[in-house]
Amino acid sequence: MISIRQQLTRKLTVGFALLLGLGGAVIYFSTRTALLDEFDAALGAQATTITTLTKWAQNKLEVEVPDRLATGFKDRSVPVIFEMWGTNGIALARSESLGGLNLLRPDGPSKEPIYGNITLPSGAAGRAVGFWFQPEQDEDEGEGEHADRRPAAGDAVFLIVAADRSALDETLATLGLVLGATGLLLLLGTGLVVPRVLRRELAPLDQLAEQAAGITAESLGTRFPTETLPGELTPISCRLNDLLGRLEQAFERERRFSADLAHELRTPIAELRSFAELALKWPEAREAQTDREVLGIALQMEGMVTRLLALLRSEHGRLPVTREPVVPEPLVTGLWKGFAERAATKQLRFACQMTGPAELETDPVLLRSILTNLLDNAVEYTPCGDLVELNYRGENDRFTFQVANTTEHLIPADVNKLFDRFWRKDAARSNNEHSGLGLSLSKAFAQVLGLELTAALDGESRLIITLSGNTGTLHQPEEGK
Amino acid sequence: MVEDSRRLQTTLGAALRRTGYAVDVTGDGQEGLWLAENNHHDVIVLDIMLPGMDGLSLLQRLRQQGRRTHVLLLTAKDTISDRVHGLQLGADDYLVKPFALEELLARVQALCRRTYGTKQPRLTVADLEIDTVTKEVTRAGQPVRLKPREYLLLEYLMARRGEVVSRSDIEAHIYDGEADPMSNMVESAVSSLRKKSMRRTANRSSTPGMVSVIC
Repeated sequence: MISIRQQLTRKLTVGFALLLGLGGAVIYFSTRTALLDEFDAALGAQATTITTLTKWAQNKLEVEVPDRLATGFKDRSVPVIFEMWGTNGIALARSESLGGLNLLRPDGPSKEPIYGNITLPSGAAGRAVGFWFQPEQDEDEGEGEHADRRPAAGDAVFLIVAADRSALDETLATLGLVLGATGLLLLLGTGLVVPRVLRRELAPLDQLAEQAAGITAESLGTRFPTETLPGELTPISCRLNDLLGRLEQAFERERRFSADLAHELRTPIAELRSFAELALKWPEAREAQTDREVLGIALQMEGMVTRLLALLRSEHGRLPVTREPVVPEPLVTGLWKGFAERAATKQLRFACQMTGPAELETDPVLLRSILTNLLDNAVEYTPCGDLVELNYRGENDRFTFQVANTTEHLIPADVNKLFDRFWRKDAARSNNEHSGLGLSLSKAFAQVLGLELTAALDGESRLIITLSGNTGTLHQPEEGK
Repeated sequence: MVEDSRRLQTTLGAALRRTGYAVDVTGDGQEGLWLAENNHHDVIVLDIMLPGMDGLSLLQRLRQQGRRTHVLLLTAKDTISDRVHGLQLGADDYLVKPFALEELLARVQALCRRTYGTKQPRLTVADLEIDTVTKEVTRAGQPVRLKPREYLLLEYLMARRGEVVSRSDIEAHIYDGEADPMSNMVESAVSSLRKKSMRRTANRSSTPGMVSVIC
């Protein structure tokens, strides 16, 4: 399993090691460069001093090196040795300490000082600077301490000045050791500290995980804290809370559906059972009406099961849809005929307005089911003597069916519940004719057809249910069709 | 019985009446409250989801008025919280639909016994004894056979032993509102009962529908 803490520990340690290495290298090499520059500057200064003390006298090279310079800068522990070469490749002068040994021979005609590391004749590591220079001509032509044979009077001389760099190397080695040891210790400390710091700082994540692990279907009302969490975790906590909210709503909807379904079935089952038990206990009490009642209960339960199955099929996309041209006007007229008698008993008025002589391509069975349900509800719940309206409008690629009727008991808060399964305004559900599934089934059918079914309550207590679509399948019927 | 299912009104009403109870039936909560406020019922079988007024509100109103009528909640609501809520509001019993008819009758009977302060299914006055479960009557150990109405009258009077029972009480409890105020139905039933339960010799009646009295 990938652990963020382990990954962070590993990556932070590696990163810190790289930074330490880089930092150490920068410190080491910048110090080394500075020390070398300082060393070279001192070497250069000594070389310059030697050049000023070197003269041509009587065709001989005279080098008057003071004791301090000849024996090196003992007070600074940097012994200096030098050697001079003529243009003919003959050594003209050298430090006494060199004995008969040579330092380096000139390499090229450059007059610019060339610095480099050399191995001293003693075998020690040294650093040298070499350059060509023109010694002065001594008019006195005195004897010099290091007079040597002169290849040609006034020729340039190649001077090599070298010094032992062991002390410098020791200093650099000590610096490298200190930096390496310090880096190692820091790395070790990082390896110990980082996991602890991560554990402490990632504790809210652990708490979040622990809290999430404790959430069950029964405790979906739990919410993660958002105020006390670090800023990085707050969005996660908020999203989790949103998810929990949606889950809670879904569970609550399912729970309510199950409870409603159980409730809807309990009463007809109780009725069936009581009919049967009454007939068994008192056979003489059995009436002819009993069988009719039992049939009514069976039909009621069958209707409920049929609607539920249709709802389930439509929700799972298993409802077959056969699209074909449908002309709305004859469909609506035919549907209303089926309700005309019931409407007449309640003295309901029916108004139907059809605009846009279009036909639409849809499943006629499902559309008929939706409109039948809407009209059935309108006829059932419209107060006696009131108006039921059905308007159809089709233009361009849109069509709208609108069923409007007055209601007596609905309030705006009820509108959102209209499409809930088993919802009925009458909590007592005394009316066995309606199971509260019609509108939810209609909405599911509408969704299957790609249509929208909405409800609204206007200021005059008129419930307006609108079925609309924008399928682009509308077209004018052919001439004479 | 306050139950909005028309079919349950029919079947349960018939079962209760055949068991010997006088039953008022309504499917509306408001009407149920009115009936409960204006009658002395032994037991109210009450649905919760009712038109007019829900059963729990009805129950609450009755308890607030100090009425101690035993209430059996009969409902499709089956969760523990529903039951607890119903009982906390003052219900004496709770039965979830669907239910066995026998169980309902037994629970109603138990509540009736509690109405008269006894947990025993047997009522005894001197050597007269009735078993309210089997509906058997004995006098000095000998069975006494009574007509259903006579049995109900005897059970009611024995349940209220030591009390003066008015004619209107008997009419309300035994005759289900069928008694004509001008008739002597109650008096004749009491007279008949007295005769049967006081006889010391056994006779078998030849009249169909009548039972013999063995004293």
